[in-house]
Amino acid sequence: MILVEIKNVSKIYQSRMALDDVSMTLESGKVYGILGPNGSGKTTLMKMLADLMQPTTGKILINGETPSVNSRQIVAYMPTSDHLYKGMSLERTGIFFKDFFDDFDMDSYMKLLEEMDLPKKLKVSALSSGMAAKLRVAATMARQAKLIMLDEPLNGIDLMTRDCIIKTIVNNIKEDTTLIISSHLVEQIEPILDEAILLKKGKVGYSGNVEQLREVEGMSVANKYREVFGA
Amino acid sequence: MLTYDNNRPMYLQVIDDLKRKIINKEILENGKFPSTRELAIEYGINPNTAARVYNEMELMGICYSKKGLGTYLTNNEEMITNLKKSVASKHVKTFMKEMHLLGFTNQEILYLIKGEGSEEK
Repeated sequence: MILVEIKNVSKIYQSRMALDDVSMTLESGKVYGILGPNGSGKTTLMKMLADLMQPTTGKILINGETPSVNSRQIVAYMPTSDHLYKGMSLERTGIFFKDFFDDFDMDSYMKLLEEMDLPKKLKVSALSSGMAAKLRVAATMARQAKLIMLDEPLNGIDLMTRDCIIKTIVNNIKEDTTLIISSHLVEQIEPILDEAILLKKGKVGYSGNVEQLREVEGMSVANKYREVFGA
Repeated sequence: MLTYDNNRPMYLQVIDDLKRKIINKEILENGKFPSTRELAIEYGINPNTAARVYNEMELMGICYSKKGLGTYLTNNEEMITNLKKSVASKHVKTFMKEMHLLGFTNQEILYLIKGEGSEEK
């Protein structure tokens, strides 16, 4: 089933073209990797799906509707920046999220904290940057949303914590959810993807099923990435 | 956990590992395979890939699915013997190809194998 339709979408910041005539459809039950270097348009695309930004031209449909306050109820977006309150305990953070989102599942949030070894009594201000990254993933994945977007969940994090986050993501993928993960750590993320979308200077440089890429071209996503972005 | 070669389809790599387990009788109480979700978690792959693993193995006659109950190993010694032969033959072919590339003749290869074999066990 198609959940997201993006039709000829462009986004211009003053004179900079952040997205240039991008079209794609995303199905439910699949994991998409949006991959590309800094400035390729990954965050812009996600923010538009999250209704935090409007396209300059073109059209976006989520579940058949233009992004709005309504669609926010079925879309969970984890931004790259810290978006949690420092003074709250992790437990309180959960309650806070529950107030905002009907689909926030407290039980699965607590389970996620446990899976990632995060003590619920601790305050957000006491977390290391790796722990904070885990918490942001937990708070986002605890929502029973139709579309879950994780913007750079592995950025600036040590290897063991990255492994932990990837494992947690795999453990919590739901059959009817569309998951979008952006990253430039292609090698680490590619084992859990269904589809890879490579953004190059605001355009789709490649898009396809990752198993098919390996099977037909004998090529990893990382090697495709090198081909697309290489000199 | 398996170390993956990202240039090869993940589902084939998982199937190879499961074949090895079947041959070594590491599968499982009552011949039942893990659920798709359990397989995904165990191998760190996404659930769609895990589902494909079982679909392909079913086509190969290695397992069958009972509606609502899960995936089971085909209970058949002949299948397992054939599986063992085909996995072994694949390894031998790869090995022979590598050795031929190094310029060894079949006779030299046999001689080397005998030498290695006598050191072990």
